[in-house]
Amino acid sequence: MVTNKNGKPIHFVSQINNITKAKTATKLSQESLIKLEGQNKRLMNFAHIVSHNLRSHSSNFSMLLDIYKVDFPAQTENEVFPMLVEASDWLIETIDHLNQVVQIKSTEEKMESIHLLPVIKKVVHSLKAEIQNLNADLKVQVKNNVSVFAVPAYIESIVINIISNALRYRSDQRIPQLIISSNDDNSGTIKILFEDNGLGIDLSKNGDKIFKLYKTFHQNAEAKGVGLYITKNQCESMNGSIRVMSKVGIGSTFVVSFLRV
Amino acid sequence: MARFDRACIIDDDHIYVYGAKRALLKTNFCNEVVVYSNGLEALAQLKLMQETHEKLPEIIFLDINMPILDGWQFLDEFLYLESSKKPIIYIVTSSENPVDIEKADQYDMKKNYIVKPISVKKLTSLFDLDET
Repeated sequence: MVTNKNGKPIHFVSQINNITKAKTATKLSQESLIKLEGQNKRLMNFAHIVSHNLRSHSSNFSMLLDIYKVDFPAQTENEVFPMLVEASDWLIETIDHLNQVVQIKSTEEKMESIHLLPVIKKVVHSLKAEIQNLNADLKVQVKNNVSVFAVPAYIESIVINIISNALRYRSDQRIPQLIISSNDDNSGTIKILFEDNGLGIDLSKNGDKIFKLYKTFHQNAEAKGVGLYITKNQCESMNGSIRVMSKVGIGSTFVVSFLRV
Repeated sequence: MARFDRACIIDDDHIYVYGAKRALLKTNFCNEVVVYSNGLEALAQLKLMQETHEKLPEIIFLDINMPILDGWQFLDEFLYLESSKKPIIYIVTSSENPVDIEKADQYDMKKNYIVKPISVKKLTSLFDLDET
């Protein structure tokens, strides 16, 4: 307020700032914080599962192998036994590594540019025996030049998990089929599609359970309800996502989105 | 001669129990092993031993994650019991969770925290035993 010498107002000076942007930004960062806290909590939950459940089984393996060696020394002098011991040792070591990684509570995993096709081929190769046993028809239609921004160990684990699931939840009515393709719609993400003709999932009943921990719904004793939980968390930690479309008796399609390089 | 007369394992994992029991006997760690599959069962049996003036185990290997009454809950109850001679308690778990290690510290048991697997080798080095 500007007045003249008699105290009479002559001017009114005001300043109006649009702070919508700042407000929106604050709100956004608060939302991100909540999201991060949620992710961190899930990470700790995962760490606990790794440190306990996996460890107890793997240490039992190693213990039983020790006992076996003492009780039946003659039966350990073959090709297989040392490999069993080796596999068991690797398992314990891998769990230890995972443990260490998660205990750092680092959300800043090392993301790098990854050439997608070789990763998928490598995974398919590692599952070759299972694929052949089931006589499954697996087609990789991912283009050669697709790269994504991801954590190498995570992307491998995601691909293994989805392919194994497709094989595990196959339908007895038909030859198992899985088509893996990629899709770049120039939106900043690359989508990988895993389309199977398996049992399918009733999403109206189980849609909210499918990516949750320890939730299983197929009549399958092998199902532990951990795989897709981990897969989802891995996807999200890389700023990606996973969703599923499915029809019972027809099959499921998992769509994984990664950041494009 | 065995180091202890009677040892006790409280654990719900029968595979681990099989191996641990074997290792304890093999290393001449003790003459006898009693096994309980959860904290509640252990508590009831140990109380009974005390009441009937049976000799309590001298050493207990206690798991943390168990159904019904877990390791911590067992400790809460057991440490409260009146007894002239308390067994030595070791926590034996697959958990390397800092939360559990921290908790062991609260019970002043950080030094008595063993991460599975238990092997003959581990036992001999921990308790300075001779393998027989």
